[in-house]
Amino acid sequence: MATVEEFQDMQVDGMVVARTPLQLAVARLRHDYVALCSLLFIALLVVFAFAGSLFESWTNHPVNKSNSSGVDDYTLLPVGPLGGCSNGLASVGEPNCFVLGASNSLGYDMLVQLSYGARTSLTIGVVATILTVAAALLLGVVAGYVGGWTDTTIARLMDIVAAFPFLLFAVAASVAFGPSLWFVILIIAFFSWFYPGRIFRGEVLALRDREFVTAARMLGASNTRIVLRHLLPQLIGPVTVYASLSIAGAIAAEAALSYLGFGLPLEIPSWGRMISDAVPGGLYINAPFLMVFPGTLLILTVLAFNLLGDGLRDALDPRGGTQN
Amino acid sequence: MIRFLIRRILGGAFVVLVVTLAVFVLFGPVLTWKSNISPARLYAGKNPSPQQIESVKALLGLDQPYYVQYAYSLRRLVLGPTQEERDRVCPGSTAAECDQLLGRFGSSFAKQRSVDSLIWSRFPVTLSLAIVSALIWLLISIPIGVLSAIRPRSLLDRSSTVFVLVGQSLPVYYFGLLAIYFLAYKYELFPLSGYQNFALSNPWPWLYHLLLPSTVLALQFAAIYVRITRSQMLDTLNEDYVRTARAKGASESRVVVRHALRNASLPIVTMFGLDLGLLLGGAILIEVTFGLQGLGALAVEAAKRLDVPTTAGIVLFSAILIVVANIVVDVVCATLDPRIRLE
Repeated sequence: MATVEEFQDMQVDGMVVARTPLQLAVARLRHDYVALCSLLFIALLVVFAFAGSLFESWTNHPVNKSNSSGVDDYTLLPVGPLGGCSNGLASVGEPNCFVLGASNSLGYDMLVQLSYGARTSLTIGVVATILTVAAALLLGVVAGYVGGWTDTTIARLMDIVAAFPFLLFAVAASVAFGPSLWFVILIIAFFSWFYPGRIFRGEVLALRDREFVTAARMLGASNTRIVLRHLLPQLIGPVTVYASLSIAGAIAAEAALSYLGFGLPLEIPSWGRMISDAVPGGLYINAPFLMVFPGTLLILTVLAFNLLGDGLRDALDPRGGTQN
Repeated sequence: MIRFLIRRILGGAFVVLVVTLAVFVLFGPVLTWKSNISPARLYAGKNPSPQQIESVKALLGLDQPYYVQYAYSLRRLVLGPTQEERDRVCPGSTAAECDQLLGRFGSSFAKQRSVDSLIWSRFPVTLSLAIVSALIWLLISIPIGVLSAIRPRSLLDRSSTVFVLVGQSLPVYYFGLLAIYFLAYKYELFPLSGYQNFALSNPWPWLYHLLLPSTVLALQFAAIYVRITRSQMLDTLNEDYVRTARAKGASESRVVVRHALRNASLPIVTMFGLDLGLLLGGAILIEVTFGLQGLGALAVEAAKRLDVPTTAGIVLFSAILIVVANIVVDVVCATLDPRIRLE
């Protein structure tokens, strides 16, 4: 939406200044407060994730280590919420308060676990997205540009992958492959490339017969050059949008898999597992904060990446897309 | 139409074949190579002697090369177990007794039952969940979608946009736990967990136990359906035939329902069929969270116990359901819109 402010921004001292598409997009994004808030939240989350080891040394509660003062000896419930300084066995110079006033059911410090969980989520989100987008670009562009049999085969492949229940397959495959970080990343990428792949294919299909491609070909450009220099730059917009949406999807998928107890090895903290740790024996009924902290962080993170993706779509392609 | 149908069925059969191969590779070579677990050892129980393992291998046909094993399991899936296999696995019992132990999907490691009978015993739960939640999400999303398309940028439209965004980002299990905490535990409106069988004389206990899980599941789907209904309706409301209908004096409700919604419904029907097929294969997260003993919960249980045939059986079963749903959707769409067949 070319707003009045945008138009006014363009006029400096009564002269019309040319803007690159990037400058225009940034200008639009600057007026999109929802996207800006999402971006701010993501930035804070990154800081929070990096602060993990700081929290460890600060609270003296190493990650994945049970702290005896974290669990009440009589009720076997975690101490807290929000007041859980135990007056127990702390030696001098060792802070014994749990910063969020809470440990989890195993006596792990909530704050440290949450911070390391953020690290896990962001790592998986970003790495899985890089793989997803790379695969989607490769197959989508090839399918759209080459056409014919290649296109049919790749399109069928996308349909097949799209038809499969991700969680059921991921659970089954994690039995066969055993728990590991790379397994989670690869299985998420394997089941998510088809969606952006279809979009990129559609974009290339629409661009393939445009005049500038024909012109480049007439000037003797090779197929490689046409794809790399003329088509790929046109895809930067969709790639950015779907990367953001794909990070949200990957984080949600990892949390769901961890919630079920598959995928990541036990020594890697995960928000999904923190939620599921609160379930056995109805623990969360007595101590709801056990699931509220990781659950809320998870929702906000997924929401932030989704909203950022929507904001980017509006900024990069203001004419359409918001409806869908 | 017949040619269209045959092509779709052949395509579906090919997809199922690919899945059987993938599942076989996963639970045969990959399992043995990555985790150093052989199915025979799992079946033989705790600390088996090498002789026991060998005899189990012979019993299950695992002493054959992989391609022979695959051919056998494929044949069993299509035609059912052979007489020779029956004699091997359950010697001296009648065919009916043996069917309890050995089915098309093999027999479970953890329980002395065929995977087929396990699947069919759990299927009613998953089916009930899918039907009730499908009803709820259609009843919620289509009116909201239509209304917000009729009045874009109204208060309803804006709140439905927020609902869509939040609904899509909400982890369904966390939402489920919150619902259990507030609605079932604090205010005691619903049971905490469990399932009651459907009885025609009094369906209330059945519905009462399903209402909370179905609603939680439905809200997630409703978010997507609101979005699709709204965008489809916005497109069709701008069509020429809608203006024509208005011009010839049709009432507004008739224009919206008969002319616009009908034409906008094709993508919704498509998506609904595919989602239903997906759900019938087990709503894992909801079933686990609400303690419903459906297919998804069975898959998780089996995977945790390394009950390989049961896990593989459920994956195959759900893949077949999805493929069938795809074919049904294609046929329905081709009936509704004859232009599709030509493509």
